[in-house]
This record gives sequence, structure tokens and C-alpha cells, in this order.
Amino acid sequence: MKKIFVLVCWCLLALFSLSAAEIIEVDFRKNGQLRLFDGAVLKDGQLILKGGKSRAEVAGSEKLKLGKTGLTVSCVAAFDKLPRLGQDLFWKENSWMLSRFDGGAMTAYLHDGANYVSRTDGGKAAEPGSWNHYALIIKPFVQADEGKYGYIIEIYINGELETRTENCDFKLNQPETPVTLGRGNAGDVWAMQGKIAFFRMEDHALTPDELNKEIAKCPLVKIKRGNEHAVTAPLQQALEKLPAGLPERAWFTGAVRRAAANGADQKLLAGAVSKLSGISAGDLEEAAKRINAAQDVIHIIAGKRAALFYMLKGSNSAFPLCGMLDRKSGREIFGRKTMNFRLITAIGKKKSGYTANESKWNKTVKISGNHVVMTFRNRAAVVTLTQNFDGGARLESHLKVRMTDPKQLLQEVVFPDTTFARLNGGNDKMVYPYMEGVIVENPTVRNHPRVRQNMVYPRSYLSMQFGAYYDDRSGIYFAFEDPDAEVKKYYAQGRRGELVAYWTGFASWKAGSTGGNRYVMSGVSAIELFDGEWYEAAKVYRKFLESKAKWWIKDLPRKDTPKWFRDLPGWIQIQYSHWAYKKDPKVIAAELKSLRDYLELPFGIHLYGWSDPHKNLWPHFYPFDNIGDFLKDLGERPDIYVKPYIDSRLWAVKDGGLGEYDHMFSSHGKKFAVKNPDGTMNYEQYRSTLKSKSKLHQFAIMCPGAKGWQDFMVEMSTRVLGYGFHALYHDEIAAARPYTCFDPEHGHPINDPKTWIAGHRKFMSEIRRRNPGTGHDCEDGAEAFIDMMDGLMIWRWYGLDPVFHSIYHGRIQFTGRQFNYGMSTPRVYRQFFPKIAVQLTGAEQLGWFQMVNMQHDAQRLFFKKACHVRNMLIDYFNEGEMLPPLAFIRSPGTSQSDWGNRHRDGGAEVVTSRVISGVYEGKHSVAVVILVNPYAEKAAFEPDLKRYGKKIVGIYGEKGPFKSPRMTLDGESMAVIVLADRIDSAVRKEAARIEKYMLRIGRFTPGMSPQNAVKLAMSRSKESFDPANAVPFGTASAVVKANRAADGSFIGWLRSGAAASFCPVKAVSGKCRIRLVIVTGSGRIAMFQGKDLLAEFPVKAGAGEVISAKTVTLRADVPVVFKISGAWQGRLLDWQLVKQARSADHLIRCMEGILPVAAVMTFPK
Amino acid sequence: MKRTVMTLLAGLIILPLAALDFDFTADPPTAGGKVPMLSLDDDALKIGGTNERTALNFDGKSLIQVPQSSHLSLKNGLTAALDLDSKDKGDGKNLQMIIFKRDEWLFYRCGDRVDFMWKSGKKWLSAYRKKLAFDKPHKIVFTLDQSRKFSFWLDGKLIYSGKTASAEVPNPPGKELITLGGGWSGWGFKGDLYRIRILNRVWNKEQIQEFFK
Repeated sequence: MKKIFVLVCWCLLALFSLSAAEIIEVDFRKNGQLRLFDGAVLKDGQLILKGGKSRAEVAGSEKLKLGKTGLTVSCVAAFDKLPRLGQDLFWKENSWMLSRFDGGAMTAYLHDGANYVSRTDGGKAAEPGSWNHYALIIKPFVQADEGKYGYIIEIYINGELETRTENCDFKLNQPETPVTLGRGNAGDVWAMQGKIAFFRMEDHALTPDELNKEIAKCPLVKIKRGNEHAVTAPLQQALEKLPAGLPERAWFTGAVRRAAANGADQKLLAGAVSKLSGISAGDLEEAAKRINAAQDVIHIIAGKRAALFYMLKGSNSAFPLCGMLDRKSGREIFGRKTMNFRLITAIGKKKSGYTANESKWNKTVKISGNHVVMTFRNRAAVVTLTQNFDGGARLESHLKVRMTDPKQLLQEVVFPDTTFARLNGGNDKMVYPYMEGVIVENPTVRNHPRVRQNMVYPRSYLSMQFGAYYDDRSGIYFAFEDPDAEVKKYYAQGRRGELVAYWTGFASWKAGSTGGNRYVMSGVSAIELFDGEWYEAAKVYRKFLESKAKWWIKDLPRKDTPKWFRDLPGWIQIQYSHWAYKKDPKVIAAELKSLRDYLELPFGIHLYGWSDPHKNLWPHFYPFDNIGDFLKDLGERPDIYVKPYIDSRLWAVKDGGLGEYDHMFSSHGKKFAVKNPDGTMNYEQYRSTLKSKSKLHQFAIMCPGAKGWQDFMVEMSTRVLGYGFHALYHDEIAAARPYTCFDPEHGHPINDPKTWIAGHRKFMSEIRRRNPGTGHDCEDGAEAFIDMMDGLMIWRWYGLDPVFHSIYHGRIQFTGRQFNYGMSTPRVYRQFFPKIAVQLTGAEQLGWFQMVNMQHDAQRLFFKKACHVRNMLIDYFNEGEMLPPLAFIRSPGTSQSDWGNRHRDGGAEVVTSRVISGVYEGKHSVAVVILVNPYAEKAAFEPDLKRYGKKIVGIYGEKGPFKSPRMTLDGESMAVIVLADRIDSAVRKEAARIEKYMLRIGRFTPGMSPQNAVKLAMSRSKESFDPANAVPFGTASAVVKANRAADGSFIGWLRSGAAASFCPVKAVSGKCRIRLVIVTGSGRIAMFQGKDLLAEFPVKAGAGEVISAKTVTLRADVPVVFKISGAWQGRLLDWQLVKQARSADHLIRCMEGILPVAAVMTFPK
Repeated sequence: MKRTVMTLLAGLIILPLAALDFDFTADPPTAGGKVPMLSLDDDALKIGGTNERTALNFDGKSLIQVPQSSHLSLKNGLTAALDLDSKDKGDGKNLQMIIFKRDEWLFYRCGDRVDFMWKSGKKWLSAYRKKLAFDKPHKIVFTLDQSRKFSFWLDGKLIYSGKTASAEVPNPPGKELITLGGGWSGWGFKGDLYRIRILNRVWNKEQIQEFFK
């Protein structure tokens, strides 16, 4: 009975699970399952898509969603063409999408309901017209121990896993929208042109076997499997006979197996290996000599840290470099494959190409000492690959390609294309050169939400040319060390459990050429083994920069940056005419001057909306008529520096008036714009900032290599600086995507990767030459712009690991991060503090927030303190060197705050150490450790200072020195530890300077906000106040730090700094009487007109009114301000200037505030 | 056992501290719970009530977000206690939002009634509504426990206690802050708020009566 019951249950369960599986499979031979739109046709079992709006919706797909068991979406498709832009294959609106991206790889996107928050790239370009099976698999995953919740994305092409990523910290949006075939989020731009013959969805993550069964049912798909070859028996036997004591035997046999698996001639290999059976050697150096002498197929180069395994002949589809050993960690660094190159060519309009491991090459490998020359020849090209090993840890590679086919143009070269094995020593991480340098944990399987693949260098999304992969045992540095900063693309992502990293360069040709062009790699690619983490990897990269990079600034302090710019503490963002932030320019100027007085330091303003868009759109930039008055007003404080916005990349297609007509675009802009191969241009679209719903204007991207644009930029920039500005902000040029240009009229080679930076350098150096003493800043940043700019305004650099900064601080200023666009809600209140702390400790200039932040007492005070710490340590930032990041013996723990998520490349909640730190070494080997607690609570911790190898000179806080490094730092406070190799008088003097300055910083107070100061000084009521009669405080022109009664009868709820102002007032004289009620505590009221103190009133508990001792005479139209101080509460009812008073005794008692409310005198009104 | 008692005691101490407790009759207004006092540095925020007994006034346009209030969700039960004067019924059609936690719960006046709602998924569900005479100030306490039993007290008297009609589960706690006096554009509260307390648990009868004293 029991068995029957179990069996029935099992059957029911099985039935339930079967019925629970939801599958949609479209039969393309029947009508009804697809809804066809705008030219999509179903014919002979194939859906034919013609691009544009043509598409098909899958009926019934609305409700099939991702569940706990995952989701598989697959199709069989053929793309007619592979246009430069991508094509969307299938799409569930605001949920998920699979596309073919620029360059050919497949790309999957996930959407959280607000944005696409995850992107996964994988695979390679399909041949046009070829049928392939594409599968997108989404699997939810939970790692509760790490607090990770997210989705695994897998892309399979023809049953092979091309990429697998983990994507965390968001929830996939799953609306009930139908799946669309052939069109996606990009609309017409990425609409598919091609055919689809199979489509299937299942609420289950299929296995590779299940996918392969599915593919087997699709006769259109002709699969060519990869070239992995099984090791033959003779080779296996030869390997087994290798002496057991052969140094690094496991590595050697691994390299042989790798070569064999990748298609090397196993007969040759077996023959060579069999000759090594009698070899004995004490070390690898000796073994290498004997191996190399014993046969002529394999060649070993043994260095101090690394060893290399080459095949001299018979490598076939394997790459001749078959292994690289890290002798220190005892690990092979390469994965299943080692290196590769790919040539992307065009025969007329048809794309073609060759790869090192797929094509039939006539190869030679010549080795002389540590110098290797590999030559690859085929009917179309000769590739010369030179490798130089430094005998230690570094291998450099250089590639040249000469197209021998006169009818085949070389367009792009992918090299180096390297596959690294997973580092299994624990905590493996990758440095990705995105913005400040993103650290990707477990990168062979995990994606980082901020990293974007295949971006184009040099731009903010690809700011440097190096990556690194390291774990607890060792690290691998890999870089494209190009001193010219040519335009190139970069990809580094986990694939099949390994890390694949490659660069794609561009080959140029003369206008009119159809083939026979060349590519000579600019610089070299390098692989270097190192010990450490991102800081040490950055040091390796810096060696190249110091010796070769054209943008490197050799001497510090940087002399061609004006001193005022270098030393500036920070920047405030001012919106001069933006619809949402518009203010009277006089008020803006007054607030800035007030802030200058409060800070006791200079600062800069980044001025937006200063140019009148009615006077022609970008790139013309003519000012509003009143900008001169504003600058003159602001100029009363000569050390408030003004940096206006210009865009140095775009030209409006309708640049006349407010985007109304073609002013100079056709005559100038169009000529100088970047052209695509087909002569088309590239555009960006923006709204005017004058109205919230203004129409989008179209702007063409300009070619910096066009002389006309260079000249225009020089003239325009010089004219704008001539309005009286101190600096210029060049929007976009270091942030946005670089292009290679195909316009033969510009004078540069076609598709030339050098032109982008060389062109910018040309016009920027001329702007700098013609405008000495001015500063130049740009959006975000990329290293190649450093010599052209003085600042990088890194507003989107959310990261906490200052990789870029560790190399470039002092050589460039970092002029701001995003502070949430002036939002002032409680939710984003805290983020101000850690952002300022990260800036301060990263040697950045502070701010780029809007003035709204200066309304908050604590934020204003924290900013002032940070400005002064920066000022105190400015030489360390601008002339010193960042040391490795601080570790803790006793950790302060972590804290988090909402940093905003506007640009989706930052999580809303950002976790930081409770104490944010930076370490810098300056003159005389003195180092400073900057410690900032940006959170409200105290932080207890002990820093680990031993790694710096210096003595502790002193630890200086805002309240005085700390006795030991076991510290407790108050909330929103700072401290500096001074370290030195030896403690002499110069060191003591420096420590004393820092101690004294820190004590000064500790005495700072919030003071009054600039807004409140200006509000009191400048607010005017519509009608004059007549103080001959009682004037209710609740009708004041301005009230700060107190609140008015709803009926205007009084003010109350007094807080520190409470004040009320009245303007205009009539010129009246008399003794000032103030009526009060419910007074507790005691304090004072001071009456000012302008800067003149007219009267002071002591206030005591129970006071009903107070009267001035002397007669007060008011000047007309000058604000009368009452400032409240002391520890008292009460309601201020009204004030009046009275001609006569009662008895002197009564007056005195009133002044002393001892008369009760009932005793208040009545005065004629 | 000792440890359990200590934990319970700690819980008793911590729970009241975690509350929102604003008293606008104090001079200046005070915050008695963990949630700090609002920043009143906005000229739109005026003093209501009278000289003798002040309140935070809302004019139908003014609203204020409460810092550090995102934890005040329905997850572990809820108590909200208000002392308010809703003088102006508005146009009688549009609601006046009194307490609003986006995507979680809200309490508002509409015409001659008050309404408590919570959100489940994308749907707002009305849990309880009550007609009131708004000609004088009222003290209101409402509670919702984890079994979704709702109680409504008015001026010291229990008016309603029972399971809410809706069986749908409230949304889990989110990151949104409590907003007082508004939440959706154009639906602002017109009136005075003398005192407000919001807790992440359900008060017992004695605690409720204490509020009415």
C-alpha cells in the first residue's frame, strides 16, 4: 500500500513537473503563432526581416517568465549583412534582449524596469547568410553568504558556450509584453535584416546537451566544431617517458598537450618529445639548454621569473607560443589557448579575415636568445610577430601586417588576443581600465556591472591600456603599451572558465586604395608577471608611461598648469540658465562671494548655461547679454575662478538661432565631421536646457583631424576665454567614443587610428599657447588627453579603488564627481560625506556639487575642513606620490549610503570603509596618511603602518594629537598621520605645521549658509515696512533657522543662527520695542541694518517685551536684520520703533526681560 | 534563559527608540525616537496651531520627507498615532495625503473620511476607511499586526478592530522614506499636525490609551 501511495505521489509529482514546464515553440510553417508587422514575411518556413520596422511578435509569449529554474530563449537565424552597427535578434521589451553588437559579437541585456543594467558579450561575427543557433539562458542565483543575488547569463552559439557572466544587485523586470523577433530597443537603428527559421522559449535553463539535441533538429545549422584535438597515443607515450625529475615537467607536458589540442602536428611533437626521454637537468635553465639541443621542434626559454615554450615548426593551427610559466607561483598562465591574432579585411564591400589559428599559414619561427620572430604568410598577407623576453618576468610582442593582396584592405587587427587560465590561489581579481579602474572579482565567471566591453580607447570607458589579473599568490599584467594612444578597442571577460582579453587596432590606408595596405602596431603588447594587486600592476604600467608615452608629464609640479588651477581646493557647479535651477545672477554671485568668505580659500565655479542658445547652437557659444555684469560682480573676489562649459566635439545640424536653421553646418560643420565608410555622419541628440520639454537637436560628431575644425576650435575657445573666464570645460572629448574617419578631404589617412589623439593634441596645444594662464578641463577622462588638459572632471567615476589616480595624480587635476544634481532629499544626504572623503584621499579637487549642498550646516563644515586638509597637503598631492592603499590591523568596519543611480554604472547603495584613507609620500621621505570618517558615528580602528617601513612622527586630529594608532575618530572628522624614514628637524617642522593646521581645522564652525546670508541681505517684500507701527515678525522678508506662524503673526521654533530680515523699511527713528511670548532660557537679539549694529536686546525667561536703550534711526531701503543668539526659545511677535516710553524703571525691567506677558504695554498703532 | 531575557529586554529598549516620534507642540519641536527631527529649514514649513499649542502646518503644497524612516514598514506590524487638525476639506474629491510611504502604505483624508491603504505588487489596497467630523482636532491611533488585523482608535475610543478584507501580502520593506503632508503631486494635506508617532510594532491597549492622555 505504502509503495502504491509513493508511486502515485511520484507519478503525480512527475505529471505536475511536466505540466509545470512552459514551452513556446514557433512553427514557422504555420500562420498564427507570429504577428507580422511592417514588411516582415513568413515564407517557406522562414521569417524574412527587412530591417526598419519589420518585425514579428510571438503570440503567447507575454506570460512566459523567468522562474527559479531559469529561462532559455533560442532561435536559428541568418543575418543578411553585418553592418557596422548591431542588429537586435529577439527582445522582450524592458526585460531582456539578445543582439548582434558592433564588431559581430552577440550581446545580451537585462533590464530592471528603469534601465538596462547588465550586458554580456560573447561569440564572434557570423558569416553573412550563414545559419546559426543562438541561445540566451538566464538563471537566477543566490549566494546568501556573500549577500549576492542576481542572474547568470549564458550565450550559446551553435551549442557552444561563448560567455557566462554573473550579474548582481538588481531585479529583472518581467512585464507581460510579447517577445519581438528582429527588432529591439534600438528601434530602426539596429533592426535585423535576415531570416529566422526557429524560435523556442522554455522556463528552464537547458543544458548544453539539451541545446545540442535542439540544434540537431535544425537542418539549416551546419556546425563546424572547434579545433580541439585529442592527444595521440604516440605523443602520450612519449610524454610518459619524460624523466620524472625533469624540472617543471608538469608545465612542459601541459604545454605539449596544449599545442596538440590546438592542432599542432602531433607526429612531430611525439618525435621531439621522445628525444627528451634521457634528459637530466638540475634546473630549468639547464633543462632548456638540453631540450633545445636535443631536437628542433620545441624551444624553451627560461628566465628568472618566467619560462616560455615555443614550437619552432609544425604548430599548424596552434599558436607557436604554447606556454608561459610563472616560476614563482609554479603556474602556467595561459588557458586552453595562448595567444592569437585576427585580421579583419574587406574585399570591396565584402568582409573577410584571417586568424592565426584558423587559416592556413606558411609559418616560420626563428629564435635568437630571448628574441623571437614569427612570420605568417598566406595568399593575402604577411604577418610578422616579434617577441622579446627580458629574461625576467616580461614578454613583449609586436605585430606587423602587410597585405600582399592588392584587392584586399586590412581594416582591423585583433592582437594580442590572449587566454589566461583561472588563477586558483584564492581571491582572483582583474583590473579593468574602465574609468578609474574597476576591480572585477572572480572575473572568469563574474561580470562587473560597471564594465562595458569592446569600448573604444581613449575614452572614459577605456581610460588606460592595461589590465591585470591576480590572486593571493601572483599576478599577470597585460597591456597594449602604445605611446601614440591610437584608437583601439578592448575586451576582457570570462569565457568557459578562463579569462579572455584582446585588443582590436585599426589599419589605415591611402584614400582610393583597394588593398595592399599595412598595419604596424604602435608600441608593443606586454605580459609581465608581478606580485601584488592593482597598485603594483599600475606601477608596472607606469614604467612604460615614464619612458615612452607622449602624454606623460615628466616634472612635478606641473608647470604648464596654472598654479591657481593646481592648488584649487574644489569646484561648485552653477547652472546659469537651466530651467530647473535658474536664479537671479546677482543672487548667484552674492552666494558665491559669501561662500568664498566662509571657506577662507579660493574655489572654482563650473558655469553651465552661460551661453545664449538663441544666439546659435553649439559650437558657436555666444553669451547671454548679462554675463559680463555677472563676471564683474563675481570678480569682486578675484580668486573665485570661472570655468564655462563648451562642447568640443559636436556641431548642431541646425546651428542657427535656437536650432532653427542651417547657419554654418553645411558650409563648415559638415565638411569637418567624422565620416563613416559610406560617407554618412555620426550624431548625438540633446535638448536645450532652457525648457524642460524642448525638442531634441541633432549634433554631428566632428573629426579632430580636419584642419577646419581645428582652426574653429582655436578661434572659438580663444573668443570665449576673452569674455573674462579663467578656464574652459571641453565637454565630451575625453569621455565619448573616438572614431576613425573615412573622409578623404580631411588630409589624414583613411581609418587612421592616430588621427583622433593627434588632432586633438594639435588644436588643444594651440589653444593653450594662445591663452597662457588659462586652465582646460574636460569630461571624465582618458590618459591620452592628460598633456592637453589640466583637469579631468570625473563625474561618473564611482569607484573606490584609485588605480588611475595612483598613476596620474599631480600630473592632472581631478575636478569633480557627481553629487546628485542638486537633489537635497534626506535619502541622498549622507552620500556627500563619503564622496568628499574619497575625493580628498584620492588627491582630487573637491566638489562639483551644486550650491544646495552648502545649505546644510554639516556638509558645509565638512567641505570646509576637507578643503583645508587638501590645502595643507597640496604638495603631497601635486608633487608627491601615492603609496599603496592603507590596510588595517583593527578594521573600522564598513558603512553604506545611497550614492544615487542616475547613470546606472553605480549601485544606489555604496559600501565603503568607515574610515576612508589615502597615503602619499612627499619631500624628505615624509609620508602622510589621511584618515577621514565621513559617517555620523565614531569609528574605532588601528591602521597597519608597517608596510610603509617608516617611523610614526605624529598622529594629528582636529582636537589634538592622538597618542597611538589605536584610534577612535569622531564622525565627520579627519586626522593625518605623519610618517618618515628618520625624524630630523625638517620632519619635526613639517609635523608641527600639520598639527597646528589640524587644530585650526578643528575650530571651524558651520557659520551661516551662503543662501541664508544672501536671503537676509537681499530679500525684498512688495510693500515697505513701516516700523512706526508694530511689524509682525511673521511678515518678515526673510526668516532663517526659524519658522513663521501660518497666519504671519509670529516666528518661533528658533534654531542656532535664527534671524529675520525686513526690506524695504521706511526711514523712522525711535526706540525699538520687540514683543515676545513664552520665553524660556536666555540669550540675545541683535538688530542690524547693513553691517551696523543698531541695538542689542538681552532676553530672559518669561520676557514679554524688550526695548532698546538708545534711539534707533533707520535708513530707508536697507534691510533690517534681527539675529537671535543664546539658548532660548520663544515666539517673536512684532517689533516697532516707538517715540516715547513709560518710566525708566519700566523700561529697564522690560530690557531685562523680567516683565510678564500681562505687563506688556500697549502702544498706539 | 538569561540570554533570552537580556535579548527581550534589549528589544524592549530598542523598539521604542526605533520609532518616529515627533512632537510639534514642543518648543522647538522634539524627536523622541530613533528617527531624527525633520529639517524645518524651509520657508514653506509654517507653524500651525496657536501661540499656546503649536503644530506643523501644511498648506496643501508643503510636504516633508522624514530622514532615516525607510524601516517603518508593515513587515513586523505597524502603529501610527496622530494628533491633528484637518481644517480644510479641500475640494472634497482629491485626497489629502497625511502619511505616505511610496510603494508600501499610506494614510490620507478624502472629503469627510480617512483611509489607510497598503500596496501589494502594483496595486494599492484599501484596508480601512472611516468617516470623521473634521470640525475639531482629533487624536487617531491605528495599528496593523502581522496577521493583518487592523484597529482604529479615535479620541480615546476603539472604533474598529478586525481582519482586513484584503488577503494580499503587503510589499516588502523598501528604501523609500516616509513623507508627511504629501506624496503625489497636487494631493497635499491642509491642516496642522501636533504630534505623530509611527512604530514598527503594534501598541497594546495601555500604550494606546497613554497616547490619548
